[in-house]
Amino acid sequence: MKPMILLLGLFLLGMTPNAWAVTDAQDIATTIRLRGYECGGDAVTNIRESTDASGTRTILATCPNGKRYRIVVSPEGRVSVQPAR
Amino acid sequence: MTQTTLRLLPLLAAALLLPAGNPPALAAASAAASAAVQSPNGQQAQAATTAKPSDAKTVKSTETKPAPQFDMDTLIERLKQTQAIGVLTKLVLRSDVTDLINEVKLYKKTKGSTRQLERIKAHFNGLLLKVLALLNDDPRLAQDIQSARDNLWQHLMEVKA
Repeated sequence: MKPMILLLGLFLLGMTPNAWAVTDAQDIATTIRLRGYECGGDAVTNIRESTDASGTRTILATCPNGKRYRIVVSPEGRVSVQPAR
Repeated sequence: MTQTTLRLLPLLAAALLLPAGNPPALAAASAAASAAVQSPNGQQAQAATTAKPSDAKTVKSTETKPAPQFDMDTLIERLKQTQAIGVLTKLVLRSDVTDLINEVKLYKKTKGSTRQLERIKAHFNGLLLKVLALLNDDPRLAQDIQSARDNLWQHLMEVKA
């Protein structure tokens, strides 16, 4: 019985996502704060994402403090953050 | 089988898998790493003093162990794989590391001053602090990076102009 429970447990462990995996909303909020902007919380909301023809990715998100930011990821992987209007 | 039983099974399996002495070891490692994140200026000894008395035995045994071999590639791979830091944040950190490497290259190329080297060291410490703070949910990796601080600095200084 014990080995069966163990095997079943291992199987379920493999299926269980890591509890501490960062969400996109948290990732964006961290990026904003790392670039020196205030966000007022750990996760953003109202995320809009677009990619242009050159491969530049633009993310618009709203922080818990109400400020909206534009995060631009260049094709080379450079990340810049600007307050959005 | 009820849902509660299903939820408990992974925990049970984890408990069965861990050797008897391991939970305190994990707790001590986690405590030491948390302390390292809060005070990343090489004050790990304090973590040992603040650990619970029940962990004292484990802490002592880890103190006698030789320091793990520094492996830059493994450390980088673990940083890439960790889920404690998001993809965007990893890109930001990569940009910061690239900037730091460029600073070192410039310093070596121009045979810069001691002041310039101090500035590079401050940037390095700041970046390490950022990484350690971000690894709050992956204390083992945070601890390993903290332990490898000197090696990382040496590695950075070996960058050719």
